[in-house]
Amino acid sequence: MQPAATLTSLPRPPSSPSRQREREREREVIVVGEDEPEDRIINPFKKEVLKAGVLQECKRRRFSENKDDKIKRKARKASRRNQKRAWGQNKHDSEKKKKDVADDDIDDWELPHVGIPYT
Amino acid sequence: MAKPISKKGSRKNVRIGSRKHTRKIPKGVIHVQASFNNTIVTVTDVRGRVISWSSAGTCGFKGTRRGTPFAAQTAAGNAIRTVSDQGMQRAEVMIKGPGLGRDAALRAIRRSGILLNFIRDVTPMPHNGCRSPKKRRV
Repeated sequence: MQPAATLTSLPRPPSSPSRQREREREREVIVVGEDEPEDRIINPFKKEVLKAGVLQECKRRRFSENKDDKIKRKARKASRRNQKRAWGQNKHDSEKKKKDVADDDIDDWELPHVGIPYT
Repeated sequence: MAKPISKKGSRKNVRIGSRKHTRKIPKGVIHVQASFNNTIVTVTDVRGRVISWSSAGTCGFKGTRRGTPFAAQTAAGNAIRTVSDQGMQRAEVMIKGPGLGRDAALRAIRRSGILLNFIRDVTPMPHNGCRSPKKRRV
């Protein structure tokens, strides 16, 4: 029985000149199980290809870009990355709020009912 | 597209199977090459020898309609019908290129009844190769 739509890395030659690039490309393989429905095959594959950035790179390399175009592209990329980071911070803040609410449930304002030795 | 297989032994053109019986190939590789203007679907055996192929142009589409998802779907259907009749049951899918036909061809392959082992994107990416053409002024 085939594993159900998981990501694996195929065997590759051991001496690879660009290992980083190879590691990126390993994410573009979807192993398909026996009776997977159609969406569970196509949607993860599409997501992995988008994550690897193959299509954006293809469209970029279709025409050469001059200095200004390169500056614009890098600015746009940085803006997208910062948006992603900001979303991450929001997530962290929401988790912190959950923790604060959990802390408010503990109510230990009453004094302990033991004899105070100095009275 | 298909890599050449070096001849070994005799230099004659030895026929793979006998003439009377068509060969039965249970496993193969489906290559989908989707450019912006065309989609080519090639079905090979596991060694890379082409069994059947089809493209949007051979299905009758011309001009800008060759790059549409419907043309890719038709091309994939035509390429797979031949190998389904020959008895192929399981295949691996290699997808190359940025065109619109990627998803359409993949859906057509999935619906054709051939079981898939894995789907793989093999789009070539130069490590800073030669200079690209200049930008188009439209």
